[in-house]
Amino acid sequence: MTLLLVEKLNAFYGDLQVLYNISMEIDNREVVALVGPNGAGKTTLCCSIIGTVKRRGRIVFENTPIDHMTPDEVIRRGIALVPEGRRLFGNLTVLENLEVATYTLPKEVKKKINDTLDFVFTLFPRLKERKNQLAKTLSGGEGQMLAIARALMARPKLLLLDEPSLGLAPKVVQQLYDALRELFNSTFVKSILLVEQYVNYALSLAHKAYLLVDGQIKASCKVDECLKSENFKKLYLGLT
Amino acid sequence: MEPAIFINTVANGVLLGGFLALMAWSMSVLLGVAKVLNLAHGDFIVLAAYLYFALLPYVKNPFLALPVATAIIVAIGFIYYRFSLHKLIPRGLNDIALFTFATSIIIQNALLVAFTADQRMIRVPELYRPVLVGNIALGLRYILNFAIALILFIVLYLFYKRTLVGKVMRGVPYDNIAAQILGIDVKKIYGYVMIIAMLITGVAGLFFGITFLFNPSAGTLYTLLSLAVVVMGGMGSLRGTFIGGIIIGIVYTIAGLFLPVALQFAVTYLVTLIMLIIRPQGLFGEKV
Repeated sequence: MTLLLVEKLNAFYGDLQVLYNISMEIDNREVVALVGPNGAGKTTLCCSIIGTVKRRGRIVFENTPIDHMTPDEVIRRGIALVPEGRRLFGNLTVLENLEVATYTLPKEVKKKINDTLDFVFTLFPRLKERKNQLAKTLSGGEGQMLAIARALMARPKLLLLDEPSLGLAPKVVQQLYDALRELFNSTFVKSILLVEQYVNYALSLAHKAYLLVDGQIKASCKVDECLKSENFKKLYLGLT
Repeated sequence: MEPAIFINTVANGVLLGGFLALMAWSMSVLLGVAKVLNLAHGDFIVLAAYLYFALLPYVKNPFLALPVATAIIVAIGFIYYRFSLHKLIPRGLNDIALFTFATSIIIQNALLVAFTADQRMIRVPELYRPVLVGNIALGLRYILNFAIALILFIVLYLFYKRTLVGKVMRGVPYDNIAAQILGIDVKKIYGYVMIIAMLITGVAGLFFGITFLFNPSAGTLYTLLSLAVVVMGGMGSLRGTFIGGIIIGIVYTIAGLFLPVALQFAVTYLVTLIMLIIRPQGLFGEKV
């Protein structure tokens, strides 16, 4: 069953077009990796799903078109984004960061705040230890945990993760991916779109991958085929 | 110099500081959350004072006019925000400064037409006497101003720390893109901040009118003084505004001891300028 369907999506910054005719599909209970070089438009694709950039095309989530919706409407439908570079509120505590994320949520979700907090603190026990600490004092790995936890406050069905490994040491990335695997297996979220520059990490978790180059989807494949696909390697390594 | 005079001066400076903080708070809140530098800040306070003046014939006690006058100034402020400032915020500080400066002139001229250039005051005779604490003489109305400033500080502090919308208001200026990604309608939050700023202006206008004589062009001085207070304390910091007000108040009264009255403001602004050079983020401001 398709959870998110993107068809012929174009996105713009002012007059500058960044994405061209993107089509992709995310199924229920699936981790989809979106890989590609710097500046390919991966972040823009995330932002156009959530609705913070100007976009044209069809985006359908659970059989409802969401391409005309504002970010708060999209979030209420069940999509949340962990932005590139974490973007925490450094001047607020860990707990306050999580609370602020509940501001626009529908009543049913707000009622479950305590359950949600329990879940994210079980997933990331470090955050519980540091819940009254200012977010700007967290380490890189803890900061990324908080960014993910903050997005989970919306109890999203689809979680968009933009470069979670950015700036983290390999060991920390490994821990982070363990947590992401646990998150997916817990069925707290149905599906994950994982944007990653490190293909190996991404493919260790994903079922399917899309390759985005110069604002266009250049290839897609099941994960076990990706590493064998000459086309995929050639395009990603820029050997075109 | 006798120590008693010095203590007296400092004590009065502290109380004057409470008054200055009360005047500066709405500017501080707007600047801190919405990054709006309101150069018509003082004029909104003077406008509020004139509202009390206009309502005075209908109420025996000016304090009873507080809800009505505040409601009117909030309505004016919100309409002003919704139909103009709202569109200017994404364009940055330059456009906002220019626009609010023009607003300042428009308010002053409108007040001139409506109320003439006569000096006015909202007289509450019971407040115009000194209170003796030991051998220190303090003006009763300044004690009242200081108390109101303290109450306002506590209310605002609890609002920012304890309520969800208050926490959102602290988060938004730190990273408004993050807020948008979380589905927070930032422009709506700015609208709420404008309402809070105007609620404070409604209170500030009353105590301003009780404390000093005013005329239609009195606002400019309070825009500048508030700017000095906010620069001293740090943009958008609540306690910074309070402590900044007290420092400016003390500097102003001490300068009055040694210098001609004409130079009192010059010294006050000089201290502000020095602060701007050595610590541009102010005492409690975030380093950018």
